[in-house]
Amino acid sequence: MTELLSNIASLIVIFVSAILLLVFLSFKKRESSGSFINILSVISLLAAAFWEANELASGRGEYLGHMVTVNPLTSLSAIILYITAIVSILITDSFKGFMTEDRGDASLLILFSVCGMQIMVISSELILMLIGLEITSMSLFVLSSKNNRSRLSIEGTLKYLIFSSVFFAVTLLGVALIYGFMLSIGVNSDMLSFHNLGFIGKSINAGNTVLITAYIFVIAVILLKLGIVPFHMWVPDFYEGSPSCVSGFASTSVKVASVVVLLNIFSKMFFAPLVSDYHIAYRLLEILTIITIVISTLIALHQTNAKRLIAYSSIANAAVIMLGILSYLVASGELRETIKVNILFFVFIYSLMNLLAFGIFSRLEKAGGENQLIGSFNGLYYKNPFLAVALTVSLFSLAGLPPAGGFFAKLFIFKSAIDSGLILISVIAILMTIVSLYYYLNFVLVLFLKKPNNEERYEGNVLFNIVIGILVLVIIFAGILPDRIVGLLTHFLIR
Amino acid sequence: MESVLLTYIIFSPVIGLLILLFIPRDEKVLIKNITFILSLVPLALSVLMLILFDRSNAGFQFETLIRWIGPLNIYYHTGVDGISLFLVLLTTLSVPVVVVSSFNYIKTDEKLYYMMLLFLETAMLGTFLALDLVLFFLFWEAMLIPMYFIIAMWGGENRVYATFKFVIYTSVGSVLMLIGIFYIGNAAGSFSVSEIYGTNFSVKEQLLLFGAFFLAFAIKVPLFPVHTWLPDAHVEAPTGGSVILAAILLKMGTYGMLRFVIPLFPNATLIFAPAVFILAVTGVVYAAMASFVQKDIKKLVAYSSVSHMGLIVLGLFALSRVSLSGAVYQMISHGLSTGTLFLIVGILYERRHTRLISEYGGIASVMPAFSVFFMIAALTSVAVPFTSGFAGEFMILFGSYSSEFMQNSSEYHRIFVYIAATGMLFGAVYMLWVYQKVIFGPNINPENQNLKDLSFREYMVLIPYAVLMIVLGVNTEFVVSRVMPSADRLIQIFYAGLK
Repeated sequence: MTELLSNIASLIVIFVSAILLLVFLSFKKRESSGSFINILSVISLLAAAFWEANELASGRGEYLGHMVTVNPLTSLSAIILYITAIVSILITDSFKGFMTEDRGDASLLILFSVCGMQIMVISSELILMLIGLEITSMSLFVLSSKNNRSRLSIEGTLKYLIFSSVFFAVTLLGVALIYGFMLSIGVNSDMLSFHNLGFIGKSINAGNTVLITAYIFVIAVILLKLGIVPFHMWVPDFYEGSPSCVSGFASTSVKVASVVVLLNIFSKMFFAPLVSDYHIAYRLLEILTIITIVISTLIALHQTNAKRLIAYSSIANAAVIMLGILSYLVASGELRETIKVNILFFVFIYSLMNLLAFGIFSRLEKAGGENQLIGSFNGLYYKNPFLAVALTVSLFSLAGLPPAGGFFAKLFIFKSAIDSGLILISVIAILMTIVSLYYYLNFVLVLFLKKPNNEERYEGNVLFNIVIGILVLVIIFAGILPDRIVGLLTHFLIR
Repeated sequence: MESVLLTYIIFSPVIGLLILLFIPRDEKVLIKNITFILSLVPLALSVLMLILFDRSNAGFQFETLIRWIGPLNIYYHTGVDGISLFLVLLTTLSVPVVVVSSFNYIKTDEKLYYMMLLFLETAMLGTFLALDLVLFFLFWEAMLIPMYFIIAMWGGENRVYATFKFVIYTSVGSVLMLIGIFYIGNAAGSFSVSEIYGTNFSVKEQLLLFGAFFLAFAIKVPLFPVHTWLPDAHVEAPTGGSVILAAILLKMGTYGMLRFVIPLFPNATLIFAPAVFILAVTGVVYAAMASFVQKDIKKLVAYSSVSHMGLIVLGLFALSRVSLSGAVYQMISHGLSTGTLFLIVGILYERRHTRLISEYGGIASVMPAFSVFFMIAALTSVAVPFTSGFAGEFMILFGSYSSEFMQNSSEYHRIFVYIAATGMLFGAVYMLWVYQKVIFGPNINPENQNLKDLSFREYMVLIPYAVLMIVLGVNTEFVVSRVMPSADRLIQIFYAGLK
């Protein structure tokens, strides 16, 4: 029990501090308490991150009747989750953007959703994963509707809420089907002891309709969170309607958690033993990935709203993550472990560049929802060169141009896919990367080429500038010496 | 691990960029002067490299080999041989020239412009000096960002269209190359040139990989029929951008063919060579003819560049030691002459704000010194003896005519050489025609009556290129003695790999 406690101490720290701050907030209702709560939240997240980093070397094992698995992958992804949360809270503290009022409740909700996501990450069975998912979603519903006077905000929240609830119900049905068939919903060895681990995968391939249905029902909820077509409809509205810092947080942390769920639970449950190309479950994912890459890139070409543009770009990036997952599923041996590292590296860099973009959006954004159009970024270079250059770095990185980190992140994923033999889908993905250059570069052009619309200067405060500066430096560092980060991940994930 | 000289050369512009970053945007004069001084640093270092270069050594010199991305076997591997030596020198010479030539031309956001120029220099030098495929690709792609800014921010009216055409064309090519690079890395277990040169690919693999690499480089050269981005990019780019584009960026394509395509895929080269010859000579004739009908001087020079680059590709794929050395020689010569021509057009444009040939005439009477420099560049472009152009084109044509490889690969090999030789003739026609139209004849246009001749700054811009064009036309030994051993070595590698 003490071992378990020490392994999930970070989760407990965050949860307890969130509860304490909630109690504090209910006594102090003044606006001024916001910064205080933000600082305490960041401190608790930092403490948790340090604890987690400390546990990286030693923490591994299965607990609570095999419901919980702790391993280096879960610890590393938890640290990435904390980083996204810290950056989001710091940006919220500086610029509220779309939010009408905030007394520190935003950072509390971020803490709660981090708890939920960490539960998702460490779970090794479906029910616990779904509980984590719901905790996350509940917090995000409230976060995204922080501006409850705006039609956009309500629309985005409602879409997300309805989609999430329906999919949650459907997924529960899927879980029930699996339980009915297997008398187990976990992936750890004990739970499937009466069948060998590959039973579900083989049955799906043999055309067992019950398990195919269950598979589709269960995987749909993760595809929804990742924003894979055809489950992507909520993404642009949600990003547009939420305050930018919330969009940044939701677009990154949820993806991190979902990817870990795919790697930890689904790949074992549905895809073991190693799949061939003709595996039905695999084929489904492959087709959806191709559709997602093509559709999201083509739709993004027509966007005039910066947040919607980044939303579609993040759908495209989710498809790149899926490409990594697909190659993980078909690869074997050492390559499989390398691909895991590459996926985590991509997710990390992707998180940084999306946070950077949304962080800058939140500086420009106003409570009425103005300054979201790409046109409002006209001549940002003349108003605030620092922000313009930072946004350029983020966009170049998203486009996958060197020397930004996005170049290597994408490069590694494509290399993984080609190494595991997914040539056709990689070619499609890379070609679509070229198409996507058009809208990223167009956006960059607006920052430098167009004349400013107004006289506003967009000065940032010190804290905000430091956060943005650090993000830029890390992204460029990852583009010049990716080995340092990849080596670190490799060191902990493969030994 | 031995030498850090190349690393200093590659990254000294970036250090300059960081220094510029801390100078306030409004200190325009300071920015210009500091950039000029900073751009002399890589030039000085590369001259040092030239002095230390051992001409009897055909392999790579000043090599640096550091493990860069461990798990993937990607190395920071740089080195220089006779082929890249002069391309590096051309690059480091061109950047100061471009910096000085931009002093008056660029009037907005000087700081960003000069920063982009220095960034571009690092990318170009890295491309020429990288000996690891992934490192090469990184610099190759990084070059897009500054070039994109330079054309899009300081270009002409239609610049956005031209920029996107340039970026999309280049990227489409590099995508296929990227896949090829991964394939090679997977097969050879390394991306480093020293290890992949010996890899045995099956003929079928070679054909596919050749296609992937060749397309990327052909777009950059640009080879007919994928040349259409070049006239647009040239016409819209500012003078400095055009000079860099013509003098150096185009050479990256031919350099890539020389460094990667020919030694890595010998069998595919043998099979595809006739097709390449056809494309190359078609480009020579087609682009020369297209030059005849241009009304815009800049566009004329742009098409003439396509024509000359076709000849260089012919020389490369003829694969004799003379034609290969000639191709490298012509790369340098073309960089000098076309660079000067774009500077000349820029000088005219600064005075009259038009590039239409019909607007000019009789310039010699008001700008005699200018006419002399124009003459030198035009004659070099036409390949008149005692200019560097003559040495290059003569070696290409002679080398191709006597090339064993060409005889083996194609029955009608001499016909290609005959057709390519007409390119020289056509070149004389359009270049002398435009020279005559602009410089000679009566000076009747009233706006041309009071044009000022070259200023001191413009002399400084034009003299280095002009002197080199003549010096390299007279003393060919200086370059050839360094290029030829490396060319020989390349041919050896090629025949060693041939099945």
